[in-house]
Amino acid sequence: MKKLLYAYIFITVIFTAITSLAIDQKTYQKKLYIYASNAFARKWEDDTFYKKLFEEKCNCELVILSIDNSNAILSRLIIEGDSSKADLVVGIDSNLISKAEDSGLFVPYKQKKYNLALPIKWDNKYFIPYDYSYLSFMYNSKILKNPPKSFKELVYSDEDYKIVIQDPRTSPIGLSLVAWSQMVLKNDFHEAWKKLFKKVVTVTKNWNDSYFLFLKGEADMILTYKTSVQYHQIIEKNFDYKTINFSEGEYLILDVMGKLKNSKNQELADKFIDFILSEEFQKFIAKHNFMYPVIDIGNALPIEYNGVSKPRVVLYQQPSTFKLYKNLWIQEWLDALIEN
Amino acid sequence: MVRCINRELIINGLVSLIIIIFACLTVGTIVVIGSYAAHNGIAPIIEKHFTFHIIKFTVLQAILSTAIIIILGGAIARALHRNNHNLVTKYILKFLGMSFFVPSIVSVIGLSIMHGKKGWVHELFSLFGISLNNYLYDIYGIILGNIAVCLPMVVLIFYHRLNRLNQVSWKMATLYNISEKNLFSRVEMPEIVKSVPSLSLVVLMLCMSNFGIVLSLGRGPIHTTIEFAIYQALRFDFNIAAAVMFSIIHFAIFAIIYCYFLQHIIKPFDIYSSLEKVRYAAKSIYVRAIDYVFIFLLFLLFIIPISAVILSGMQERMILTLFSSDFWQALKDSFIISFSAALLAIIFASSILLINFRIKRQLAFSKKSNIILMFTSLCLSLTPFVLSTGVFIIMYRFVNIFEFAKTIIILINAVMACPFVLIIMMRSTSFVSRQKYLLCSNLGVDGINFFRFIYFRRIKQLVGYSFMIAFIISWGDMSVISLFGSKDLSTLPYLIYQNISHYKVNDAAVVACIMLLISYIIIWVILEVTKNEINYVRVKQSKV
Repeated sequence: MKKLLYAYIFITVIFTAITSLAIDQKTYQKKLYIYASNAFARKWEDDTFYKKLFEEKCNCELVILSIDNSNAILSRLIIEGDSSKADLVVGIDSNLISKAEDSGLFVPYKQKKYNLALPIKWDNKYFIPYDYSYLSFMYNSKILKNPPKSFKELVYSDEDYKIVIQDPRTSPIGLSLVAWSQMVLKNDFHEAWKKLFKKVVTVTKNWNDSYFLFLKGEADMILTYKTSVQYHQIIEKNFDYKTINFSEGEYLILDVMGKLKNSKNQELADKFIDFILSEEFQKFIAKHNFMYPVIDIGNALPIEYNGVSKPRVVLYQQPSTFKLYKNLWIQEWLDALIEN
Repeated sequence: MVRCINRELIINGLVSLIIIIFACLTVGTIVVIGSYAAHNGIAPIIEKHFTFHIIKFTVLQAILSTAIIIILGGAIARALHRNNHNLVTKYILKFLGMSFFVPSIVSVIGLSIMHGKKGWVHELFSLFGISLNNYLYDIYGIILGNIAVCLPMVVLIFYHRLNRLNQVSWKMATLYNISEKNLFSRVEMPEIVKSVPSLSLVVLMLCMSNFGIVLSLGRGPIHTTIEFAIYQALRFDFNIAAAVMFSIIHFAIFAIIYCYFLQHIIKPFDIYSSLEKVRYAAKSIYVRAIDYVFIFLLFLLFIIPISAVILSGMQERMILTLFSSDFWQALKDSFIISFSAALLAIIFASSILLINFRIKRQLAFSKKSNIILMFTSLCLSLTPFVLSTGVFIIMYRFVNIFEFAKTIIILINAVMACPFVLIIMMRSTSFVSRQKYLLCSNLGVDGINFFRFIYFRRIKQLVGYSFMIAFIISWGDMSVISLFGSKDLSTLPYLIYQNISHYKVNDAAVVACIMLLISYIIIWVILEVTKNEINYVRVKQSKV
């Protein structure tokens, strides 16, 4: 029996030794450390073409650390403080810009004319967006035949809708939903959410968990990006999924990036920002990140985007408003949840 | 003489150092959290109404789950014991022994496969035209998850408790034709009840620390437990004040619960399977039916969900997963963390036992000294997130915590496993009586020779079992890794959760299956290697 144990240990050691072998790759002297949200980092892991392209352009190694979402990224940066290795942060949600600015960890990016094509005017000097979309509810048109046409109809209708949403304390999309509903429902916020919670299947920690539940058929509708349907249309050639155009308007969500004050590679970080905002990479974002590009790429925008109409009314809360009222909105939301 | 004194000094020094490290991790955490609160105040960051809701939910779901688990566990153990001659029972017991601490994330996948909206239960009911509500992502799902994690342990402990009853008891019961009702109330129940206080305490603590279950099956903020609130405060907001507030509340609740149970001192659990007793009484159809119902419940609540994980994992994707670098990275980190944490837990527990032995020796083996009890209760009241809060407060201003993430995870996991290791190894203090120890001292067999030739031979099986428990606890831990986990540092449970988050459900099932199979292999190897040739536990041989 001891021989069996020794053999087992030997095999385990061999396997761990194999996995520890360094993969032979080109080494660069400089490294650009990027903290990125899962959504952004996943694209660079799945397709290393652009990673290699940038590394050859800047003659540096790109190290991308994938962290859950904006909240987790900011928490990590605050914890690490001055000893953080990060040079650049990609994937901060626009709702958290005020929190990020208050941390004092960021420096203004190199001001250039990027010709941004956004639904709103952008004048923030610390953060620059690289993609955007709108908040919406997605459903399977083969299962749900009569979706609501407005936010108020979703709340007050007697239809037994089953929706899955995200927690505003942990998910930027969840926080955007609270902001969106605040703008639409105004003084009825508390009572409306008490009604709406009866239709909520579950409130997940993040968007990925919700999406998993929705695809498994646990809910009729999911709170997601308006452009999520593009994934199913472009990749799966599945046109059953549709998003709802609420009559009150839809909430704008932007993903932004920013440079860190303690970074020793400021120039490299600037080059990376230029690279992300280049036409070539913006086409990649439209085709593979399933978000709207921030510059006008003309006919390069996939044809499937034509099937998704842009909102007539664009709703957006300024970062300064968020800073003042975010905690109050979340508390009201939690109160409505408990009283439900 | 000088050599003996030097050796004694070195051993004392090492043990003292270990105890200091352990004390810093446990008592130090409480002190640091308390001083942070005293210095900065614990003004509630989250609205009081919601804080009360969190506390109420944490305690109620734990109490409800514990009550169900204890009652069901006792009934199932009794049903199994009444059918202990059956081959199926023997295999069930073996399976339960191997699944003593199933990782919560594995249970979650099994429950999703069984009870999810497109799960087996829903599809079975839909055949009869019945449409069920989505009950999994609700309090019912959390209770099912708690049952799946704790039921094997409770059933086994109650079963072994019943098996300790003398064979003569069963003979007399048959001889005097005692009814089932009287047999239960006068023979079985008093025996089962002996384990209920300490077992309830452990199950209650586990249900209050069920972070993985709540994370996966909770219906959002309405199902927030205190641990989850600490996790959110540290991971997403970095709100130390909120984390400190919830840590203090958590510690206070555990302390209150423990004080309530204090009169029922934690007794070591029986892990030895003594000779199977024969129950002679013929069973009526009614009794048989009841037994089969309870055994079926065991299948429904535990065996089928775990089997579902194994069946779903055995697919073609397994080959792809086995060649994935993410998987091997997670496997390597899991092994390093679990192995190190288990070893450290044994070292901590051994040091505490040694100190306890020495204190008892000083007090002439008076029963008044019981520092084991003190350390066990302290460790049980400190959950991973409370410990993590303390670590964050101490370290974040001076170093980058994420660079020491692996070390912190190992230390915290070791402390978490320590009470279970102590509970098992407490038995070892009775293996060498005072007379034997004095005899050995007189014969000059002391120090390392005493340990090697006398003591360790007797406790080898206990040490093996303790190591296995500590390893499995750390192997399935989702708590601490969720605070520090990233691409660079990932364990198998974290990888499973990441796969679920990226809707790679099939990959998650495969990893869960492999994780479960590896844990079974490790359990089997450890038990085989540490099996004693002679059973040093006094077993009253039944005279047939």
